[in-house]
Amino acid sequence: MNRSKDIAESNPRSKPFGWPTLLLASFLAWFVFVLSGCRDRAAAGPNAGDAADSLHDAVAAATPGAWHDELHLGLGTPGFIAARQGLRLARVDDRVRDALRAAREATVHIARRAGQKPARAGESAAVLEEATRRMRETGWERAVTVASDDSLVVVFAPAVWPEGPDIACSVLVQDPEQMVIVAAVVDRNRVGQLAEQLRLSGGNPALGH
Amino acid sequence: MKNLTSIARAALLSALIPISPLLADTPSGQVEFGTFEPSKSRGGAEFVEINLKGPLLEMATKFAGKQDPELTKLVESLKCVRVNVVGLGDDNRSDVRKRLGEIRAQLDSGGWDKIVNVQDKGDNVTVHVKTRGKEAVEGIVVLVEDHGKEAVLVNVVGDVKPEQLEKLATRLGIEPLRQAAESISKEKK
Repeated sequence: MNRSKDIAESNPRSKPFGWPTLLLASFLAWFVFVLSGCRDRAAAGPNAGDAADSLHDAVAAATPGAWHDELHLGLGTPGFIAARQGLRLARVDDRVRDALRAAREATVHIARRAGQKPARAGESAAVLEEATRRMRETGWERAVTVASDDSLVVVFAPAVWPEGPDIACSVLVQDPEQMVIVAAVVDRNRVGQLAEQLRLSGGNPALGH
Repeated sequence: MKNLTSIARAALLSALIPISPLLADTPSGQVEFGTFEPSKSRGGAEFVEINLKGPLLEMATKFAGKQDPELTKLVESLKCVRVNVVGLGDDNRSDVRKRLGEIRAQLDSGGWDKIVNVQDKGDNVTVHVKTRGKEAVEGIVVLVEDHGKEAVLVNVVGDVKPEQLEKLATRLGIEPLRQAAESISKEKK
C-alpha cells in the first residue's frame, strides 16, 4: 500500500490541479482572446447579424402572410478582408475601396411578401411596435423613424455606445410588398472621410449642396 | 513561479473587469418627451421621429459638410437633436394633447423661459429656451399643435439660438425641424 501511495505521488498526472496552473491557463486564454480580436468584437456592442434577424422576425410576426427571402447575405470581418484583397485585382472606383475599408461587418436581408394578400390598415404601426420591442431586448433603440399607413423606414442604433471607432446601425425599410434590412458595423472615422470625399466630388443633392 | 503567478492573477483580474457602458449625465437642456407611436386609427397619418445623439449626431454633422464659422461653432456645441411629428387620430389625440400640456407645465416650472406663446385658429405654438447666464443657451424646446391634425415636438440641446434653428435644420437635412423653425419665425413677425 505504501508503494502504491509512493507511485501515485510520483506520477505527475495524479497530482491535484493547482491554482498557479489555473491562473497561468486563464492568462494565456485571455491573451489569445485579445489577440483574436474577440474582445474588440465584444466591445463593439450589439451584433449586426442578430439585429437583422430580429427585424426580419418582427416584420414576419406583425404582418399577415408569408415572406420569401430574395437575398440574405452576411459578411464579417474576414469576409471584408477577403473582399478588399480581391478588389486589388479589379478596377473599381476608389470610393468603393474606401467603403469596404470602412465596413467591419454587414448583413443584408431582402424579402418579398408571398401571395396577393393586401396589407392591413395600420400595418406599419404594428411592425414598428414589434420591431421596437424586439430590438430593445437586444440593446438597440430607435434613432430615426418615418412611417405612413403602409410604409415604414426605421433606423436603430445601440442604446449604449461602446468605446472605440466602430459604430453599429440597423435599417428596416418595409412596404406592403417588400422588406429590406441592412445592419452594419462601420468605422466612423473612415465613414467621415468617405462622406467628405463624396461631398467634394459631387455633393449631396438631398442636402441641396 | 511566484512572479508568474502574480502576473497571471493580475491579468485574470483585468480581463474580468467588465467594459463599463458609457454613462453620460443628462444634459441640462434635454427634455424627456416620452415615447410616441403612430396613430393606428388615422390612415396616412404622418409619423416622424428623429433622435440624434452621440456618435450618430457626430456622423450627421459630418455629412452636413463644411459650414460657415458660426454654424461650425453651433454644430460643435450640439449634444442632442430630437424631433417628433405625430399625426393625430381619434386613438391618440387626447393622449398627445395631455402630454403636450404636461411638458409645457414641466418647462414652465423647471426654469425654462417661454419666448413664444401663440394660440390662434387651431394652432398652438410655444417655444421655451433654457439659458445659462446671459449669453449661453443650453436647450430649446418647440411644441406645436397644428389644427388638431399633427403635433410637433422639438428639443435641440446645445448652444443654439432660436433664430439659428432654421439654418441648422437645413444643414442637417431635417425637414420637420426646418418647418418648425419657419413657423417660429412667422409667429415672431
